[in-house]
Amino acid sequence: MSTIRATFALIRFAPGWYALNAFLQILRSGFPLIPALVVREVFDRLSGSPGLTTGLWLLFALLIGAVLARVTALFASVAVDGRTSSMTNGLLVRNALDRIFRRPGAQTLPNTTGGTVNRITADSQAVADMLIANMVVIGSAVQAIVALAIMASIDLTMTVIVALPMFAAGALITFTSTQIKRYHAQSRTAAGEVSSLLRELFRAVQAIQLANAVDRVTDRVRDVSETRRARSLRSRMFSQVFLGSVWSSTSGLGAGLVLLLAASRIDRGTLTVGDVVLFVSYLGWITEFTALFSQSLAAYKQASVSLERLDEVVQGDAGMPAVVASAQILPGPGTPRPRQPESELDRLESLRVDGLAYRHPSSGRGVSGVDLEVRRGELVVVTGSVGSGKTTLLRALLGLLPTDEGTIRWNGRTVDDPATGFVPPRCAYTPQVPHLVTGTVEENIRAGSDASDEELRQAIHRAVLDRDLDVMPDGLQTRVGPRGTTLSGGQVQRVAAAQMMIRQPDLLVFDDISSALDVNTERELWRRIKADPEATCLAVSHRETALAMADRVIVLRDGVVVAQGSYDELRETVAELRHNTADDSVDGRTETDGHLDGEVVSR
Amino acid sequence: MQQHKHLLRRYLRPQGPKLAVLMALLFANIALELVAPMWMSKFIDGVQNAASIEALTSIALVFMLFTLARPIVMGFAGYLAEDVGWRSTNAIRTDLTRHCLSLDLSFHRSRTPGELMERVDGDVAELHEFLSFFVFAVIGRLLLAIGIIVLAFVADYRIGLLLLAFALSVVVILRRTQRIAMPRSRALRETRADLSSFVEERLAARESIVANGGRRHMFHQLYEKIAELVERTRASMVASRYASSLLEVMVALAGTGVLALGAYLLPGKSITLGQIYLGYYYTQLLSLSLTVVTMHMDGLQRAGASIARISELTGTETRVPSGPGRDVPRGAAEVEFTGVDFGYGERQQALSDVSFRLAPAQTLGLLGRTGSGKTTITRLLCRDHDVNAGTVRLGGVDVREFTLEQLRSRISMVTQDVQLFHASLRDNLTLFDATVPDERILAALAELHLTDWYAGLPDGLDTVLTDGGGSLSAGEAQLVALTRAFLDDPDVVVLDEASSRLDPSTEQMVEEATTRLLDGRTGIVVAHRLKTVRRLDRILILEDGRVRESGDRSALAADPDSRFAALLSGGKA
Repeated sequence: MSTIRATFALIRFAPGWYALNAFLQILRSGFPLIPALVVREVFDRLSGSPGLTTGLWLLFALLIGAVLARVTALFASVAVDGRTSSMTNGLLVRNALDRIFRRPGAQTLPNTTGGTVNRITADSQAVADMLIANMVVIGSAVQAIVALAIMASIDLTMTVIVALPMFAAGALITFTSTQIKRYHAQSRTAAGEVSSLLRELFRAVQAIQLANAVDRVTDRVRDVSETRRARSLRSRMFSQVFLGSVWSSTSGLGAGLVLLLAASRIDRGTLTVGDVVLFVSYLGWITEFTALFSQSLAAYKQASVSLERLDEVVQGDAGMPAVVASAQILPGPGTPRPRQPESELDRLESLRVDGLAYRHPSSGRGVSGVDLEVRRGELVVVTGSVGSGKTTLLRALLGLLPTDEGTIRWNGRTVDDPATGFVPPRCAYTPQVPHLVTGTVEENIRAGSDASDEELRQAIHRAVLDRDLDVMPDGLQTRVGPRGTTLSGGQVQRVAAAQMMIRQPDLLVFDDISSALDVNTERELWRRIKADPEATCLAVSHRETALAMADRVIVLRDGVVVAQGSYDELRETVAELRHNTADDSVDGRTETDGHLDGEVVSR
Repeated sequence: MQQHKHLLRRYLRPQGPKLAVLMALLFANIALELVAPMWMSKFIDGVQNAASIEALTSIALVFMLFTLARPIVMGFAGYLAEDVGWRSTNAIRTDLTRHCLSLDLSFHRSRTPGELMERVDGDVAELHEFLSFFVFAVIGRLLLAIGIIVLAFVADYRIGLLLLAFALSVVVILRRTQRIAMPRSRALRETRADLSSFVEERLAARESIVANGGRRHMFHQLYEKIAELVERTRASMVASRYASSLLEVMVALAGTGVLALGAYLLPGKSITLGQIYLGYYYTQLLSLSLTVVTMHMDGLQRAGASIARISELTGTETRVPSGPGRDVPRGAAEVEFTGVDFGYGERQQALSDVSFRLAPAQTLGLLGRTGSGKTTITRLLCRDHDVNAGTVRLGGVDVREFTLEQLRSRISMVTQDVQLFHASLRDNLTLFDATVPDERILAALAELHLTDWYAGLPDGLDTVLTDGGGSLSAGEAQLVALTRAFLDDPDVVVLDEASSRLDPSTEQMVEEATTRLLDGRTGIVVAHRLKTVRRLDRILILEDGRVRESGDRSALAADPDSRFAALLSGGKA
């Protein structure tokens, strides 16, 4: 999609505001034309009959009136500028997020998180700024046209001669536009690299400090910053200094031409001193327009780079139209809280997966030919070694990754789009490394749910978060710091679990809940889940606690199911489970399960 | 103001020669700008006095020459100013990054990476805008304004007085209106930073948002943020125009004053029509200059706010200052905690009166419920934080006696969250230490039985890992972290749930390697697995930040009343 079409699509998003904007721009640029006309009159009167007359005082009053009108128009105009640009900016952010969140939730984004954030925020702003710059140019263009018309009415030939260099400069700008675009793209890429590096560094502070690597990583910051300096300098010099010089030379040439041509004309009496003053003054405004125009042209080129970068972020299968599509972005007065989306699936009786396959496009690894079944009230545990595809299996099943093959049946009916079907209240999920957001613990658990306090309490209980909340300084109102770092890893995971529980899904899906939980806590969690005979659960775990409680264990190896059955059936025959159990104990205790709690449930 | 001067002096000094050339170009530019309109004035007087066409034409040509020369001078000056701006802000950015990365973890705990980004990249960029136009706008335009007033006095003292009064009142009014815009632009900047953090956190949590139907809620929150952005942008943009608008009105008043004064003086022949034009033109030029100054005064305000925030950051001192330094021989060292109290923030007490001693080359297993303080103990040893009371000793020396570099070169830590960089595997393993030879890295990988995994990578050590380790499984990321520790060759090893995410067969691999790593070194292990614990020499069980039980592992295991024995037998202790 061309930048022009994108621009118009964005204008269509708020046509009223843009129309008002254009109108105010015209007023804002139009009023400054009045003083030159008045001043011409003043000079013509003074060159004829010197002295302060009543007529002059009236003209002076007009000068003051014009500036007051101009300032009023200016304030109205910038207020509307601010509103239109930030609304457009907001729309682009919203659309970019919308596209990203429509994609399978675990599919890798084409850029680093830092780079993606930079594109979503900075590039959206660049596009919005370009639109406003264009609106300013519209006002300025009207101003220039009116000025040219007035000049032409005084002396057509002189106007044409004076205006010609401007057109020549315009042509030059057009020729260099591709270069501008290329340089700008390079400078934005360099800027993105600086942002991503800084973001990663600030996330990895502890690792950097412990490795005594502060100076080394700082050197790297210096290097990427230096690249950005070189690139930005080239881009900016080309678009502003070089082109800016072209324009101001052109205007200097114009003013000189006015004087040269005026000499003979004044001699012949066809031109007055006042006319010369007016020509020079208007030429200034026209130059301002041309300079603005060249700037907005540069902004336009830069905005099209930004649009392309945004397009990359949303990986536009639908492309640009999605980023610029109109949408409701402001919560209107009294907008009700959004309701949880309802899954169109029925209450779970059974979930069947046949021949499920997904390959990671980059590594070629994944899962294939996976068959499994989960019935109401069952606990099914998936286990296997690192890289065997456990997480991939859960993600593909839930529609967080696009499956290559396989059918998923819910109560016997084929699920076409698991991503929309496998949501609360049918299904909910706790990923292996959950991320909380800034806010209170309660806000993180609710995440928009309007469940009752009793339901909240139950979710906390089932997620074994109750004891932690008791010792937290503000209980449920404890602030979860940036990215949840004020909580321990296990607490983060259980807050995420509570977030899942409060949605009261038919099917609970856990990816490796044990990774940050101690054994006692994990056992308590399974005990509380199993206390509800209706609870259905599909989980990844390595702990015997989970394996032993499972109705069925599924063992993955290199992306395929190598064994399925009860833990007792499999523990002696499957390598992945075997070394978990028998163990030589120097403590004189045999049959410990390799885990700290010495869980004996299975015996 | 003192901060501004200090910061500017420090970072602009290295740019001295360029600044000198820049100043020369600037003066040339000012001269051209002042002189050109004089020839216009001569032209008008020539017309009034019925000069010959030839005379008028030559005046016009000189005028043209001056106006054409100016853009060339401007172009060069612009290039230099931009260059100076980038170079000095890059230096600030680098220093600021180093400073932030050196601050203790309690500082980072209270700030998002996005927030720090906004300081190090956003605020410094603001400063760049300011620096690259500062010389141009503020100094250059001010000099031009002074030149104009001087020339006006030369032409006629009354016009001079009028322009001087105008300029002075402009300065006074500017200083007053200057403050109005500042809090609003700050508020807008905060809103933008907030939006940026919002986007980042939601992208990080994308998987669970999508799977748990949280999209609508997210957009609802986003719309509230956008509404705030709209309101604050509008308020900030309007406020930023107060000063320039007031100036515009004043210019109109002054220009009209010049014209009226001229009209009054003209009949007495004490002034020419050309000089009236020059006076009027200079009023416009003066206003233009002062407008530019106003615009960059906004920049000055923003830069002022940015400098304030940057200075606040550079003024933040680490709560774990480097010690005086102690040279002690390398080798496995004793670790001792004596009466240690510690809390995150004021209310959350994480450790109370914790004491234990671990002999050199012995290993200690930390056990306890989530949140009982195990991780905190490891953090205090590495001085991620400092104790509130009590002492932590390494080899009999208070850890605060060592320089941080000494301390951290002796301790390696494998944390719960493995932090990976968008960089080559080599850089991820050595943390950008180019002096580590590839053979050493490969040897370490071999020791961890990672040779097969390594062979499967497309570009070997040059393989670029993606952001957040997306290309590696959590287990593989753990193995990378363990390799890092191997490469460090530390005296003390801290493993914080290092193997907790590994499945049994990878765990087997890691266990072997861990044994090798711990061999001959003092080790502190936060463990969940009995298997790991069984290899350790000593046990410490924590409960709510207090030592519940501590002692020799085999002795505790043999004591039927011990909590450890109860844990081993699977009963509830």
